[in-house]
Amino acid sequence: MEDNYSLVQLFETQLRINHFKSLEILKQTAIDLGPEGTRDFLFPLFSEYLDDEDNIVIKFAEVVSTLVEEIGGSEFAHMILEPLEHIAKSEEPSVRSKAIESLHTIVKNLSSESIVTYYLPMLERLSDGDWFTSKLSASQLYACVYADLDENDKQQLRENYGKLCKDRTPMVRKTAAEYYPDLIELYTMDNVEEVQEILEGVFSDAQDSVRVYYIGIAIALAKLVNEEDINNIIHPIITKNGFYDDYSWRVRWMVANRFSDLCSAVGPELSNNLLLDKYVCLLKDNESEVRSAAAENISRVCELVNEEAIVRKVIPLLKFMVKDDSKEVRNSLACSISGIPAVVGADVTNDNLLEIYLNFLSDEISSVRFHIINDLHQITEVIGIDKIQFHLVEAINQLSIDSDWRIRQKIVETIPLFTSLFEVSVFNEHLVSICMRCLDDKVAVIRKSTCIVLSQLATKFGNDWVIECILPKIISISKHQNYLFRVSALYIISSIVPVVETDLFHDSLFPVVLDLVKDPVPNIRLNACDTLGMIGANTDHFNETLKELFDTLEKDIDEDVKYRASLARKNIN
Amino acid sequence: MIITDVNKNDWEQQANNYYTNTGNNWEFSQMFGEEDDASSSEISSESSEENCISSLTFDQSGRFLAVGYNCGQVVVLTQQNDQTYQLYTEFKSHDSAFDFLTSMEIEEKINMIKWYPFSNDKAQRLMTTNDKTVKLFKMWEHSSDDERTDVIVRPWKTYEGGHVYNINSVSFNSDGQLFISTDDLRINLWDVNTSTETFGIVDIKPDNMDDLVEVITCSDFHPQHCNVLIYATSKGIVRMSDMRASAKCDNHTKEFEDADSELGGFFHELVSTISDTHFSPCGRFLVSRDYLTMKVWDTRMEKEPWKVVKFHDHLIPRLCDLYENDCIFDKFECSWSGNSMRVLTGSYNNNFYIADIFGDFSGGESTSINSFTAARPGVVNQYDFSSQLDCSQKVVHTAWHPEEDIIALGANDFGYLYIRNTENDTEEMEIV
Repeated sequence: MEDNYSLVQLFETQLRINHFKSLEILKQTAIDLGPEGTRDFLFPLFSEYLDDEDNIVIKFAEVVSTLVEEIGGSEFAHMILEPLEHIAKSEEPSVRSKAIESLHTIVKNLSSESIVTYYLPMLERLSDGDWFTSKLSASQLYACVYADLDENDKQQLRENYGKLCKDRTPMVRKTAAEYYPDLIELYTMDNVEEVQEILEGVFSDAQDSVRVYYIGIAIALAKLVNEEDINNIIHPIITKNGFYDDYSWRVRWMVANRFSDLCSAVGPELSNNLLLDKYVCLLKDNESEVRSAAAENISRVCELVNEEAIVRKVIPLLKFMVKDDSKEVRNSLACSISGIPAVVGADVTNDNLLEIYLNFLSDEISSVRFHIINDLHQITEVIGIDKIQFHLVEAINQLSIDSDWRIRQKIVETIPLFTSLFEVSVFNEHLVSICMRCLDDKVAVIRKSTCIVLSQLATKFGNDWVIECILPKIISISKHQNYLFRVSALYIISSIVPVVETDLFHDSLFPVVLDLVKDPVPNIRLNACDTLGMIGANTDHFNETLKELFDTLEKDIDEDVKYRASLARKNIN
Repeated sequence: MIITDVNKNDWEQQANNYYTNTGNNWEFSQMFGEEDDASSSEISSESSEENCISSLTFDQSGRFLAVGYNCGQVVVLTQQNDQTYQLYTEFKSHDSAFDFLTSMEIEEKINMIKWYPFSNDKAQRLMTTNDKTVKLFKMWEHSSDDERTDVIVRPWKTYEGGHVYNINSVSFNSDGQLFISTDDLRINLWDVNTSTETFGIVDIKPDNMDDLVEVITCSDFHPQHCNVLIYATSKGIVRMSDMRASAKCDNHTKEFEDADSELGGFFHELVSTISDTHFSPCGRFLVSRDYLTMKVWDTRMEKEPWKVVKFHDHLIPRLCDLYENDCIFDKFECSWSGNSMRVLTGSYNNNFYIADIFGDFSGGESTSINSFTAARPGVVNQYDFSSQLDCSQKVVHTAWHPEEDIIALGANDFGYLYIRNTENDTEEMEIV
C-alpha cells in the first residue's frame, strides 16, 4: 500500500507539471499499481485530461485504450467507456475519430453482459445528445456491437439508427448515411424493408451532402439481398429516376466513383443489361470531375461486363475521350485503361485500343504519358511489344527530358521494368543512353536514382554488359570537372560491387576508386571511404590494399573523412 | 433548379394585408456605445474611428447580437426578458498584421460576423472576418464551482491564406458544413472542419488586370437550398450560381440586372454598384441595395426587378459634393425582416428607412416607406434634407431580429436598438 501511495504521488506530480508527459508514464504506472490500484487511484485522475487541448486528449484516448489488462481485464474494461464517451462528444473531428477508434478497441474486450449493461446505454446517450457532435460519433459505434446482440437489442439499435438517419440536423443525417453500409453488412433478409425505407429517405433528402451517400447504401443493400431477390428488390431501386443523373454533380461523382462496386454487387446480368449504359452516360457527363471519376473505374467495370458489350458501347467512346478537353479526365483514363486488354483480348486490342494507347503516348501532359508507360506490361502481355515499341521508346525519351524533375525521376525508375520486354540489343540501343543522360542530370535525386537503376540492370544483364555499356561512362564521369558528378561514379561502383566479377573489378573499376581516394574534394574522399567499405564487405580480394588505404584515410586532414574511414574499417571487421 | 412556387399576386395580397394590420412605426429602445458619450467631443477622431461599428448580426434565435468594431473587438449582447439587450461578453477577434509581400498593413477591422446555423442552449459558434483571415469562435457558459457563470470565448478555427484580395463577406451553407468567403474577385468554398484547404468556385479575375471592370461586393448562400448562392458586383448585377451544375460556378445560372436605370452620365456606375444583397428568409426573393435605391427581385424573374424602392432621390442633385467628400462610396447595408415582409436600410443624418417592400412604389411619394432618425429620444436633431446633409452621421450597418420586430443599427461608434410599436396592430399575422 505504501508503494502504491508513492507511485500515485509521483504520477500526480507529473500530472500537475505536464499533462502530455504524464501520459507517457501512465501505462507503466498502471502496470506497477496493479489492477486494484489502477481502478482505485489512477482511474479518478482520468477526468483531468478530458477538457485538455486537442492533442493531449487524442493521446489520452490512445493510451487509455491500451489499459484493458491493467484495469483488470474484460470484467472491468467497461470503466474505460466513461472517459471515452466524453471525448466522443468533442467538437474537433480528429479528437472524435480517436475516441471512436479507442472505443472500437475496448469493445473487443467487453463481455456480452458488459456490452448490454454499459455500452448500449452509452450509445443511447450519445445518439440522443443535445449537441450534434455526439450523434456524429454515435453513427460509427453501432456496427461494432450489433452482431452479437439478442433480437430485442438489435431491434432497438436499428430503430435508434433509423432516428439518426432522419435527424433534423443535416450533418447528423449525412454521417448516419455515410456509415449505414457498415451496419447493413450485419443485417439479414428480414431487415430489407427497413433499409429500403431509409434509402428512400436519403435518396430524396434536400441536402446534397446527404444524398451523396445513397449509392453506398444501395450497394450494401444489393450485397445483402439474395440472388433470387435481386430483381424484385434491387431492380426498382437502380432504375429509379434520378439514380444516375442527380442534379448535383457531386452526387453523380459518387455514383461514378462507386460504379464498379455497384456492378459487382448486383451481378453480371443487371450489369450487362442495365448498368453499362448508365456507365457510358457518366463517361459522357457534362462535368469533367464526374467523367474523371467514371474513367478511373474503367478497367474494373470492364472486368464485370461482357466483352462484346465493351466493344460495342465503351470502346467507341474511348476514342473520343482520348481527346477530352480536360487533362484530369485524360489522366484518370490513362491510369486505368491499361487493364482493358486483359479483358477483351489481343484482337480487339490491336484493332481498337492500340491507337488509343499510341495517342496517349503522345499526349501533351506528361503524367498521362507516364501512366501508360508505367502499366505497359499489362498491355504487352496481351499484344506483345512490336507494334508499340517505337512509340514507347519515343515517349520514354521525351519524358526523360521533361521539365518536371519528378517526371524524369519516375521514368528512370521504370526502366528496369523494361528489361523483360525489350531484347538486350534494343535495350542497349535506346534505353541505356537515356540512363547515361540522366547521370548528367542537374538534379541530384535523379542521378542517385539512375545509379540504383544501373545496378539493377547490371544484375539482370551481367558482367559483359557492364563492360560494354557502363564502364566507359563510369570512367569518364569520374574525371568530370564538377565534383557533384564525380561522386556519381562512386555511387555506381558501390551499387554494382556485389554484381560484377572480381577480375573486372580489379582491372577497371578499382583503379577508378583509387583515383578518387586521392581527390582534392573532401566530399569525394568521404564517399570513397564508403565505397571501399562496400568493396571490403563483398570480397576479401583487396584486403591488403584496403588496409593501407584506410591507414592513409584515417590520417586525413578532414574530420569527416577520418570518421568515415574508421567506420568503414569497423564494418568490414 | 428548385425554387419554391409562389404566385406573385397572392404574395402581394398577403403582404398588403400584413401592412394594413401592422403599423410601420418604430420606437427607440436602447443605445449602446454609451461609455464614449460623455467625452465624445473630446475624443480625437482617430480613437473614435477605432470604436466605429463595422458589423452587426443577430443569431438564428435572436437571443444574441454580435457587434464588430474597426479595432477588431467583438461585443456580444444577449436579449433580456424585456426585449432589451445587455452585455454578454466581448473579445478581441483580430489583430492588425503586416503583409510583408505587399508592404501593407492588414487592418483588424471586422468586415462581417455570421453565426453558425446550428447551436444548442449552452454553446454557440460565430464566424468573424477581417480583410484576409476568417475565424470561427466558440462561445459557451462555464459554471465554475462557486456558482458563478462565466462566458468563455475561444478561437476554434482560423482560415487563413485563402485570399489575395480583401474579404467582404462570409456566408454559411444550410448544410451546416460548408461556407463561402468572398473577396473582390473570388469566392472560396470551405469546409468548416478543414482550415488547410479551400476550393475556388467563382473567379472573375481577368487574365490581364488592365481589363478589370468589375469586382464582387458581397455574396450570400440561399437560406434553405444548399446549392444556390448569389453574389453582387460593382456593375449593379446580382448573379446566381448553382453549385450542383458544375464544380466551378463561373457560369452563372441567372443574372439580375436592372437595365432600366434612369441616371446616366458620369455617376451612373458609381451609384449602381451594389453595396449589399441578401436572400429573403423565405428564400423566394432577394434584395440588392445600391446607392440610391433598393431593388427586390423575384428569383424566378431576371428581366426586371419586382419592386424598385427609391428613397435617395434627394441626393441626386448633390452627387458632385458626395463625390468630392468620398461619401458616394459609402456601403450601406440592408436587412430583411424575419417574415420577409419589410426591409431596413440606413442613410445619412442618422436616418434609416423601413420599407413595406411589397407595397406600391410606382408613384413619386410612396406611403410604403417610412424614415426614422436613430438618436436617443430628446436628442433628435432635426435636419432638413434640402439644406443640411450631414454625411458624417450615417447608419451604415443594420440587422433585424429573425423572429421579432427588433432592429439594430450601427451609426459610427454608437449602436441603436429600435422596436416596432405594436399598439395599433389589428390582428396576429402569420406569414406563410
